[in-house]
Amino acid sequence: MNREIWEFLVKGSDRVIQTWFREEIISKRDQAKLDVALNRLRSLDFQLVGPKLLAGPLRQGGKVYKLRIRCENRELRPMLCRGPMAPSEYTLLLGALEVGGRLKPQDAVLRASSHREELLANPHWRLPF
Amino acid sequence: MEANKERLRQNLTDKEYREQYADSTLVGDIAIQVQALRRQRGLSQADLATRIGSKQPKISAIETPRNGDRLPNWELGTLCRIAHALGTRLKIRFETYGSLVDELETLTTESLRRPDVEDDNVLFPRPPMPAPDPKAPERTRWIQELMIPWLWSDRLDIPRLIGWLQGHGLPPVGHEEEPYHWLLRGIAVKGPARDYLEKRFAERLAIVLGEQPDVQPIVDDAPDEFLLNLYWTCAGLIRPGFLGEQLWSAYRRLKGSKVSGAVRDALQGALVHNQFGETKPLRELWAPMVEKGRHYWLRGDEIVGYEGILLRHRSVKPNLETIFWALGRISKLWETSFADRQSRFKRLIEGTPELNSPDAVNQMINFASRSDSGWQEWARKLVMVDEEQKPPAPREASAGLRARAAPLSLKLRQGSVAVLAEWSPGQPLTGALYFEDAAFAPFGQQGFPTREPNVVVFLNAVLTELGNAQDVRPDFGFPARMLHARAYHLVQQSRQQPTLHT
Repeated sequence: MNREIWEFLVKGSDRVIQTWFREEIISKRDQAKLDVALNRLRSLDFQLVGPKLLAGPLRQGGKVYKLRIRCENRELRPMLCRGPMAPSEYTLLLGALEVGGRLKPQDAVLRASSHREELLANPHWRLPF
Repeated sequence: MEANKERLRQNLTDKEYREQYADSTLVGDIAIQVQALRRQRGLSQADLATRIGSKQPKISAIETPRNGDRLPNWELGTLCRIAHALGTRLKIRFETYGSLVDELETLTTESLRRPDVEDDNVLFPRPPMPAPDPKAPERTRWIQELMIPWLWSDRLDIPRLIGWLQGHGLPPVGHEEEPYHWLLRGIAVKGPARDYLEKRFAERLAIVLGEQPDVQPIVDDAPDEFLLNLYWTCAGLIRPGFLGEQLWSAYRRLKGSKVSGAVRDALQGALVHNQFGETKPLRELWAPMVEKGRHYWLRGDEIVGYEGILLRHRSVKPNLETIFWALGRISKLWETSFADRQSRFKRLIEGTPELNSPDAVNQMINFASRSDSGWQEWARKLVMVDEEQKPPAPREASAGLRARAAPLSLKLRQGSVAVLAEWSPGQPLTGALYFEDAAFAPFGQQGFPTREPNVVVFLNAVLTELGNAQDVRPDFGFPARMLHARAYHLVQQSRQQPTLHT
């Protein structure tokens, strides 16, 4: 089962994860970890991905999940959802970090959820990741 | 895919990226394949840990490594033990970084699976694929012809199952026939192949459950109908190793939410037959049901809770005490609920195969007699047996036998029925069964030896008479089981005393 991974476009133009890479200065090592995790999502059945890698659906977030990637001083927590257009796909909705048990941005779950709503209203606001 | 491969190829030219990517892939591949093989075998983490002489957290740590900057400190010996426990071997080799690009498209759930050693075609030629049951109705044979090759194949082909669960490609379904009926008929072949087919079916169902269709519908039409059929299909199998964890996760996600009663009932049926672990379902589902007669989210009553406890005993953790405890809680619940509580309670006990053996009944009687058993007086009276023995207390008896002077007598009474027996030196054994309707059946006047009384012979004769009486007097059934169990217990006790055999 091969699943497509999409990236949300803020206002239909800005790639949300690429922007996050630049703003948070995500290192090459951390990008490698993220890529390996995303390869798992692409290739494996949901039960093998497991909640340690993909947690959710999150409280407050409706149908939002978070990827859990541990790095040296912080943890990557990109927010994503299953679908929302087809069952066999994921869409990355927002880049986020977790430092000292706190999300950055703090309202990451709500923002990701609202991105999902925007995407449902504008299905072309995304590109393959 | 080509775009992904090209992006990865470019990224791998960066030293920092490629080393981290290679390490994360290595750790992730091992972790994922251990999990995939464990699930393919229908093993829990605890089962696998037991096979390698370790504990569940060890397996959990391997399956979900911390993806930090340091590589996990796994011992090669541990990984080899896991490989052997899963019926496989461990293979390690050095590779180029470039090979990671090709591996990008070869990783799938199916690529991680390996047959167990007895299914290894190279070592043991595979038996021929089973044929549909020739005596089955025509349409059942038809669905078996579809399902058997699908399950026999190494290819999982989950979309096909998802279609079937919606009724696509099945014989017509309607009010009487649901897709799950056909799917369960499709594996109902005779012989040892059924076990193999059930395992492969459960494995595929677990993958569908793992997609969390309760959270994110994986079908476009009638997702509730899909869930209903998925859960009822699971309920038709007893494969907790494959299905327990995923069903429990579904319950944890759904509990408290607004889900139709029909879906909850189907999930409940699946949870009864496929329990996850020894304690969680008991504590969270079955205990509240037998104690309160209801559950806050599922719709089961005390009978469903009792069934859950019986299935736990059969498939997860044999434990008669929990069954006795449940009967006690039910007796409390029924104290004021039912006028016919005695006959209901008898039916409950009689319908419990675990309580067929005299040993188990005897344990139940002992449990019920305890002050902390929770059994209400009315229920206790139903099973308690009054005993009067003279002198089956073994040591007295043996002393008596040596002295050649002690007569043996036994009086067991259960409610208004009783068995009396007596054997005096130089006399034949005599006795009678007294029934509720004041009838009585004498036994033993003729044909019993007149030699010296012997406790084992004496009790065995009583046991035989009780067994015969159950056959000819069905109304004697329940009390006879209690009397029989006590007499059996006394025989066992007397056999443990070597002096009695001399």
